[in-house]
Amino acid sequence: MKKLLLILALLPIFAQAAPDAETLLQESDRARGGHLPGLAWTIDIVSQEGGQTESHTLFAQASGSNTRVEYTAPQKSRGQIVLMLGRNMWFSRPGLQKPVPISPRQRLSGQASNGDIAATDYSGDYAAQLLGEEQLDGEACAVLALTARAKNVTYERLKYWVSLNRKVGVKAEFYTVSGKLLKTARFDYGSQIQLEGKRLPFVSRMTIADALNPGNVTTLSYSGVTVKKLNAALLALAQ
Amino acid sequence: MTLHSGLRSSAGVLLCLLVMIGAQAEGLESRSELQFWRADYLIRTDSVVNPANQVAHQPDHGWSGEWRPDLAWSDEAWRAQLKPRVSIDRSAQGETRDAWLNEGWLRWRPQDGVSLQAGREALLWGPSMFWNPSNPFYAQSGKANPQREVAGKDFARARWQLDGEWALSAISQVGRGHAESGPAHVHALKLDWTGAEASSAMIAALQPGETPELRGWAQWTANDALLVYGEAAWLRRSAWRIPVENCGSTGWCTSDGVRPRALDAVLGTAYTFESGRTLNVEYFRHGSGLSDAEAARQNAMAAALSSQPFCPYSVLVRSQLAGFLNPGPSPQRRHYLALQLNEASGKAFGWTLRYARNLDDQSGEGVVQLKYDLGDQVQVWSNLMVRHGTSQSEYGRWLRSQAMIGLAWFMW
Repeated sequence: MKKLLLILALLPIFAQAAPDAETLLQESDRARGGHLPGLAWTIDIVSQEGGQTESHTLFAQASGSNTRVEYTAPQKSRGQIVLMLGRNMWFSRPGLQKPVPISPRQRLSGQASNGDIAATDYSGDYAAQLLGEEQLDGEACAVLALTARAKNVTYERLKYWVSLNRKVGVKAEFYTVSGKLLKTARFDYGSQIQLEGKRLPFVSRMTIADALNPGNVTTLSYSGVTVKKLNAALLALAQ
Repeated sequence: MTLHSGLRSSAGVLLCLLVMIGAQAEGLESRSELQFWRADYLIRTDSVVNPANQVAHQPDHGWSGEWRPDLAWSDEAWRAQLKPRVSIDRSAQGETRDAWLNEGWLRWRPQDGVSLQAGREALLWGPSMFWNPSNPFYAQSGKANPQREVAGKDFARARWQLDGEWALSAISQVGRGHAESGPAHVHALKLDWTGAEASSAMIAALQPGETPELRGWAQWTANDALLVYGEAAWLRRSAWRIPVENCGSTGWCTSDGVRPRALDAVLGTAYTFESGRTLNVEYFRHGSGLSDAEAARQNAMAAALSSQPFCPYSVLVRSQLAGFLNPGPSPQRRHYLALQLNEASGKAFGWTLRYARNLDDQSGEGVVQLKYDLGDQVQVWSNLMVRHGTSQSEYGRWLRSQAMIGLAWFMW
């Protein structure tokens, strides 16, 4: 009986020592916009490729698996819209043409694909498995192996480092089906959102580097993050 | 300059002032661009439908400029949009100035999921890059010449978002708007469905005096890189004329052709490579197009008319040949294949290659589109279009090539 009581008393300690990969992934999603009622934010994208630098500013609004991204700068790109309804995606630009369907792999800017912007729900898209724990920049992290639940997600496999203390994803490696490393990404959490009376960390920067050409780097800086319910018509193909 | 064009110029100046004032008003979204371009044309000298260029009278080059301000205002329930346009075209045939409202509409959302909209707009839809049989209002998508805007038509429509996946729209085209041709009135009911990785729409359309049509489109995101899509229409063939020999003053006249129901359908796929480039491949079965025998008869009439010893050609002959020159917005024959390769990213240099082939007469049209950004507000662009085929083929019949080079200034 004493042994049983001792085991029961120690269970929470064991549970803490070996975090549940799925729960950890779900918790970390919230700091990137997943599982929130509705969200609006500004993204400044700076991409460096082949010695050239391109900058874009986007205004993003998301609810569930739907996201609407509108270019607000530079002048030449203003009014262009990417609408993502689940895995259905369309691109339109002012006046000239109809919205055209695009794939999640198509590039938004530099190394950032449409899927990178839309993928806030890793726990919905991927099954997680705990590989172990590692120190990353002096912070204890769980290393998760993420495998696509369906074949239509942007990346087949991810290796994902989640801070055990802050419950946020800090690094990701993106792989193809064949196991080739495509890109790496680092996440910073300098912003906060107010949700259900609590202040929660929120992603402030995502830095994506091309695995083959590490000099090709795209930085997405997030600002002006607000949690709000969005009009359903905003996230629908208007025509 | 005529009185009419003078009035239009004055209207254009007034429009400029209003837009400039409006752009400064609080709460108003606005953007504006100025486009200038030069277009050069190479005409086929042995054309049957345009002998010695006496039918088309196409100048060998021309200059154009267009100012395109976009204004929008919105609050929680209302949104208004205005897209006035001012243009000037100059060629050997003279100068044309114009000012018009290409789009201008008002939308009201009395409650979440319901919207009512009226006004002029370019109401385009469908996933196909080359042909849009699912759209009863527009036969062309406007992508063949992306520098030219699609003309707005006058619509009234209501949309109900039934739930997260389904939406129903009632759409009524009440006028041609700025479009030069096409039916003035078309009514349609449209049912949209958007799933997690696929979407589609079914459209029932009716043109007064015609039998109802069924149209639709669907697209599926098969995986991260692959899209599969299609568009279709089950409709009565458009009105067309059968050439009849040994009648009329030119020796040829036409009578109404039979108009059975036909299936027009596009099947397409798009694949995005890891480099970010996307390849589209589309096949179009244009069941309402001309058969080999019908096309041969039309070609025989055109050949007979153009060989008549009229110099210059009589008004009637020119008028009959012009019908072959501009047969309408839809393609003419029954089987087509098209490819498009493009790089769509935010890079300073961008390009698109397009090729469409008529599989019935083996003629085709290739297009190279290039753009280069000179900073954040200025872009240079060019479009080179080359056609091939015999003088009696669809693409090869009169225009050999068109080269356009232009400058876009994104003002604000």
